[in-house]
Amino acid sequence: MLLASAADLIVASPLFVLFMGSLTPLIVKVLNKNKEPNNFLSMIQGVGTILAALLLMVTVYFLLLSRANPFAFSNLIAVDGIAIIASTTCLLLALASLFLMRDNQSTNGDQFAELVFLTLNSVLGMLVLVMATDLLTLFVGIEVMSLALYMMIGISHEQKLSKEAAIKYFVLGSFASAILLQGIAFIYGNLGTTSITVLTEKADLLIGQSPLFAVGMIFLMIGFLFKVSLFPFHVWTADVYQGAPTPHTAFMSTAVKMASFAAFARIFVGSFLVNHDSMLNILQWIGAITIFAGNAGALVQNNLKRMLAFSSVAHSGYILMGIIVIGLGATKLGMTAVMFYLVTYSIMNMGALAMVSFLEKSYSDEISTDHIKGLAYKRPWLAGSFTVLLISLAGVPPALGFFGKFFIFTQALDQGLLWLTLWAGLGSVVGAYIYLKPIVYMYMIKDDDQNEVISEAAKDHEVYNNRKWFTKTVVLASAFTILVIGLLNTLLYHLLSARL
Amino acid sequence: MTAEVFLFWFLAIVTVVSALGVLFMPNPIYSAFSLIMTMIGVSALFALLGAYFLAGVQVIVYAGAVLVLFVMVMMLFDLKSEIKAFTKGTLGGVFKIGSVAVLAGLILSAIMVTTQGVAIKFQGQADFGMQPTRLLGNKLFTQYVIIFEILGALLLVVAVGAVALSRSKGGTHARRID
Repeated sequence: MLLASAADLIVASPLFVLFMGSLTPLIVKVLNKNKEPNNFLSMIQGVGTILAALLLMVTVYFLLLSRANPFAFSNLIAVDGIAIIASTTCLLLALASLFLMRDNQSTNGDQFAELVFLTLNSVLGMLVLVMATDLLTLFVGIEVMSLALYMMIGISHEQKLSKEAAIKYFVLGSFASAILLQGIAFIYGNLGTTSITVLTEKADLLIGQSPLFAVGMIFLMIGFLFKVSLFPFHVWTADVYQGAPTPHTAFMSTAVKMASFAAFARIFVGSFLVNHDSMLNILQWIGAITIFAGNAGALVQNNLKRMLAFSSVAHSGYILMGIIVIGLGATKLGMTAVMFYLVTYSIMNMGALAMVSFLEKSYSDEISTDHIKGLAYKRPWLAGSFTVLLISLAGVPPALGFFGKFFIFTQALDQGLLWLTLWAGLGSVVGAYIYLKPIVYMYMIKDDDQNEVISEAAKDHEVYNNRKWFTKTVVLASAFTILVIGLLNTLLYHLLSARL
Repeated sequence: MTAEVFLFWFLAIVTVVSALGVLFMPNPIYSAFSLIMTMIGVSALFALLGAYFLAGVQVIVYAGAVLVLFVMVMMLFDLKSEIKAFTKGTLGGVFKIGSVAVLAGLILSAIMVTTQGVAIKFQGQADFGMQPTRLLGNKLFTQYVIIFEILGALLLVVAVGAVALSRSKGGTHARRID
């Protein structure tokens, strides 16, 4: 057997470019006598690498499209529709996260070169994860992605909460990975192969016959439930998202979720839920409870980051509905709905967390609803953008978030998941309150201490925050994208649908 | 009771008891040693199953890594009383080393007996000795080469991350500015 053919290497070229490019900030730092190079320079290197990988990824996809065989490396990876949608989204989200990291006080300055390296390698893991057509590649992808993330959180300049978050995420994530691996072992024992393609073909038969295979699938799912923070494995989310530096929170809640859900969806293509009622019921309950746990948790939060963390749990619940639809056999429609939701949710959440990152005044600053009192009068454009993003997250009709929910709910109804849709609908009504609260604070509550003497330090922070150009760009761009795609939502839907 | 069954039960009991030891020992150093014992037990079980490569890797990677962990524990934390408790008394020391020697001898002989005397039934092919290892190597560098390469990237990520983590603010090797 050949080591790897030229075609294989071309398929993997985005990965190579990403890895090689991720080394440049480190090399520059070493050549600079281990002194931190200019942050902007490191960021540009990261951005350049990501753009190169993005370009290659799209090229590879269209090359493979003409060959009609998306697989490479003895069917271990494939650049198909799911991979191209998820990977381009992840790369763009990483780009936005790098912008935020450059501006945020808890991530810029010292050790920014290492941070860029870790971010790019985390994205490398995501690409491997979304391209994976074999359980082994999938596991390795998850590990590369997560290990880089743990350390990204750990090297924050904030010394207490972020270290706690890193340790919590690391310990719980390791358990989840171990359980996932155990699941893969059980599946391999029954299937005789680790290929996801074979798994999806035989899953619906095996799940009824072999209890061990069912256990394997359950373990595999537990691993994923943890990664995408679904009930009962969602409790880490609030602490980790709050403790991590805001740019990393933005990165985790969007790109990691995108990649994990894409891989999760791949496994459900096998429509094995049709033959397994109890698993279908359990997954429906998980979805419904997740939506309520997320929204209920967010209700009582004043800390914006914590609130968005709980809201991301709720959004995972909605996406799980789409995954269940895929598992019931409506592969293409369900997949399109899931991908649509993931793409739109990623844009909204990235923008919202970029706004939080913009407001932070120091590396240990925590933004609560009190901090955004009367913001609309001080920064009308940003407050307006934030409002658009929040309305979209709430799923109010004209905004993009509504269409994501709409496609998922209609697909779920088509599959006869009446009760689940009803619960999810109720949950999103509750959820609307939490997103409207910050808007009320921004527009309707005046800042009381406007007449107080502003200290020198506060002025400095104000000046620094005014210079967060990249963060501002991310906020405005994501709000703009939401508005534009909100109008052209069918276009995006057909674009995604044509790929899947 | 055949030799194979006896060896299995012996190794299983050693592994489980030392795994419990990891949990219940109040002294972290004893825990680390129990962990080494567990790893060696697991590797002997692998050898019993005919997975020699896995057994070797288990000893090299885990027992080696656990030893590093052990050194780290001693270096990073202030464990003077624990270390003293561990090194206390000549008679106790002789007894400890003696018991380790006996156990190591038992495990070694267990491995020897399994590899030579007992016929091991493979489900698939009747390959013995180094053949599975060669097969594994071949697979690793042909079929699974992409995973192998990505794992290389993973190791670099971990190495760079660990250094960055120790040098970050609040880390053990943080640069003193401020």
